[in-house]
Amino acid sequence: MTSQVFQILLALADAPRHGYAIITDVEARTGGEIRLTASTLYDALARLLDQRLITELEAPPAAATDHDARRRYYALADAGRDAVRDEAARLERMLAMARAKNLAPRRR
Amino acid sequence: MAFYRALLYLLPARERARHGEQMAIAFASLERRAGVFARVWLWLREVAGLLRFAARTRLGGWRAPGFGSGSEFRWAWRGVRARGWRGVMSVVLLALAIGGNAVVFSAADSFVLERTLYPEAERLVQVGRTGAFAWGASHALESIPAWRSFTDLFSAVYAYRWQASWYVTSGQGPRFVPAVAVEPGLLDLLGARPVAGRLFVRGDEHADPATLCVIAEDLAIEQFGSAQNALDQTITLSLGDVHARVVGVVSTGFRFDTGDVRVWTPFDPTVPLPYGGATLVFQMAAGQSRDAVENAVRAREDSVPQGASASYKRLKPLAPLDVRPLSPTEERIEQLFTLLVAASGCLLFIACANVLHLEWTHSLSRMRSHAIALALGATRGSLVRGALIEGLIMTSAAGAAGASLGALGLHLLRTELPNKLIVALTNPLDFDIRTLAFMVAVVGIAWLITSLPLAIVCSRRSVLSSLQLEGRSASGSRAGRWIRSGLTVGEMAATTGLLVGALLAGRSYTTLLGTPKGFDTYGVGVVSVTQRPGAAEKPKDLGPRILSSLRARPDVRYAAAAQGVPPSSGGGINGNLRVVGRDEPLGLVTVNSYGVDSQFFSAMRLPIVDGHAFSDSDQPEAVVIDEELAKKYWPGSSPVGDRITFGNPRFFRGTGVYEVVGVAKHMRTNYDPAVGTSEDTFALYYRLADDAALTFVLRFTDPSRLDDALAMVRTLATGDRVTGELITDRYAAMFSNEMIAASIMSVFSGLAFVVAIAGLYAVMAFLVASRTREIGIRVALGADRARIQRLVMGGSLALVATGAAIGGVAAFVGARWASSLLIGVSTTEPWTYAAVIGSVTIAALLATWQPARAAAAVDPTILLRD
Repeated sequence: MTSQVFQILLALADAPRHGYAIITDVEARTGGEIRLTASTLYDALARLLDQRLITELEAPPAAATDHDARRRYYALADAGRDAVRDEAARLERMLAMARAKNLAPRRR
Repeated sequence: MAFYRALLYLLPARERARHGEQMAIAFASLERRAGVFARVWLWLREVAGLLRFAARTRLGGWRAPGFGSGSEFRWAWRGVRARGWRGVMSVVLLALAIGGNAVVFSAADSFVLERTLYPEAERLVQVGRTGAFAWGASHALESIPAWRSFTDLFSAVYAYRWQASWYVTSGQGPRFVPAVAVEPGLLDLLGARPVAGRLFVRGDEHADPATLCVIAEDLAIEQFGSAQNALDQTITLSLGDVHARVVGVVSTGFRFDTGDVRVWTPFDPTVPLPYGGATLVFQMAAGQSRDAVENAVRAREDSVPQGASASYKRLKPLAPLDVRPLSPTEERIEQLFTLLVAASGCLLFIACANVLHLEWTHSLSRMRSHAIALALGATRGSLVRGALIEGLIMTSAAGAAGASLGALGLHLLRTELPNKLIVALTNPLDFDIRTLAFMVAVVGIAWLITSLPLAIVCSRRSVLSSLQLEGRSASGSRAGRWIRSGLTVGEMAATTGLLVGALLAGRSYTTLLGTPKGFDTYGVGVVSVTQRPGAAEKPKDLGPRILSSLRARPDVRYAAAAQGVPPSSGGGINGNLRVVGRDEPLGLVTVNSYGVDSQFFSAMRLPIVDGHAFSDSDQPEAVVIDEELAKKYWPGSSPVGDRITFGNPRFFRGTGVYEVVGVAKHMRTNYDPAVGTSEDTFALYYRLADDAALTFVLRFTDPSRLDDALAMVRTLATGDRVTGELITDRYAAMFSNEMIAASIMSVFSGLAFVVAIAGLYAVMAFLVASRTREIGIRVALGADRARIQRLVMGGSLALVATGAAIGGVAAFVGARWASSLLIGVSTTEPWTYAAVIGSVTIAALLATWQPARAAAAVDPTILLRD
């Protein structure tokens, strides 16, 4: 799983979001380290939809504040949630290995 | 966004349908918040991402046969890298040409080729005539039924009426927007589509006229967050605190007549108006032509009620009725863009010619590498494919860089062009994808012409003969020499032509700017205040308060209140000029009146040539007239002391009888032609007494003090709209066409000059390099070095002189054709041509100097030993 896809799935973990909201969420959370463009985002979203890791909502969620009738919202599917968990666990294992070799800071 | 939507066609139809609209929305949001440079970077990343997306979804796991091994890609990439600085230069040259052309063609599309995006735009016309001030399409309301009865000529007639700029107040605070009252049906006729709510329907106009409105999407987003949110909201319009409910929102791309209208209210032409008439839009009946309709309306004119123009007719015969397209193109603008398109074409030609040169200088080593590839077992097909991929890489790089440059250029054009030109566009200034595609295709073809024959020729020769090649490459042949000479001559001709054009356009612009205005423009600023709706303070209290504060400033020498500031009209009227006591009227004149206070003439430093400027002892009827009016009707005598009337009982105030107290030097206004002065329109100054003028003319000690004074006025008129500009900028705006012509021609000719001279250098360096052996033999046979140097320089000079001469002649012909754009300069003046041809030749000789020295330095002993 690429870090972009991981971040997109993370962005959908709390609530369904539309495309632009995903871009701004990822950018804010990573401190600008990952800046998605519309094409990279939707390329990833298309793949995630095909893999059924996310779903597209029929109607905007009730809690959506910046309501624009044209926007479509995406939510994390159960399979997607599992995939994020697996990836996080994998990253955790990697980090542990790096720590064992003193290549990553110890957990505080 | 049109460009972005076009790029989405790279994606397969399924992905486009699934995600295209969402991508466009997200990209628009990203673009909105990015600055200029961030936007260029965003575009580059977006295009790269789109290409990846397209490749993944279109190609998937499929690989083109023969490309599978990737060896062609590797060969091609190696070929690209082997070009070194030549490759970079080729890409930069092509990108400049593509970007420049994209900007010019996109602008030409909006300004000339496709003025409107209305459906069946060729059937939409206006009927009007040239009046005292300009062409007008305003008609008396009582004429509308008569126009509608001509069903054989028109299938639809709709009326609209301009409102003053309206104050829109809603959640996000007040803002001025131009508004138009339209008859229900007109917006539908012009192809407006609501993005939320609806357009006007019959019956809306009978409601209280300003209780309903349709607004543009960008205003809806600005004031309410989104189009949907704006529906049923109430906005406060105008100074009269009219409340209007939003019934519909139309997309921002929809432009009405002039592009900056953002609010539409329903218009009822059956309700009499306090003054003036309405503008009519006609849809010609199917099958009618403009000429036929024009003849028919001229013949039937008498059966149409004329309202107020009937009284004007008694003074002066009316001009015949004309039928014009809804958004006509000025002939001058059309000519301007024809010139610019020619200029950008020249630049493209020069860039392509240089790329050809650069490719040819490289051809020898390319042939060797092709030969090695063949020796290593590459097939002829793979060689050609490799050349194609190389071309694709270079062309794509140039295309992407050119698109970014073009987008940047258009952005600059949108922000730097005078606002009045941009808002007048009914087809918004967008990146034209067709232009980009065309330019990339031209560049691609130029590429194919250079590189493909080389690959084919190589693949037909034996490996050994290719490797043995030296000194006699394909480009060293007689045909190659001819083509190279032809290209060099062409480049020099195009450069000379562009430089002459730029010089003439620049001189025309500076001549126009420098035309005497009649007063000292340096340091004069104009500050205007428009009060917010419901402001408590009366203009007659606010005006003097601001004026006295301005006068107290040490950086303001004089401050005057004025109604009307040049070069625009102060307010005009036509009338028969009479002197009280004389029987015969002096003549029919158009008066352009400015209301001014006693400091106005000092603030403007507008000299009084006869009589005196206003003083407090003057009667309210005192006027100061323009020198040209005095010269025309009081030749050899003084008008001072005469009492005059304009036939009309009164127009600005008083009894209608005015006493001339002074004669002011002629002040240039919009009514004066570009060269000379108007013969029937004259400035006239009347005294502002208790008139509440909120426009101030200021003479600063230094023009840079304007911003400071503006800031002060803003604190005095909190919440009101305060604008300010230097009077030199107001005059400069009169010559915006000339400004565009001069600046774009300068940029293009400057680029062309640099590119062509660099190209000449590359050609001469290549020629010397390919003739090294020949030169060595000449030296060995006793030719001295000066002679060798002369030989090289002479060859270059012949090409340059021929090109410059051809370019000079072409420029002369072009300048004659465009003489209406080149006001105030002579197109036949020889020194302009001599200066350009001279500088091109000198620059060319300098560019040849180094290769000539290199040729003279050839050492025959080393050469022959090699």
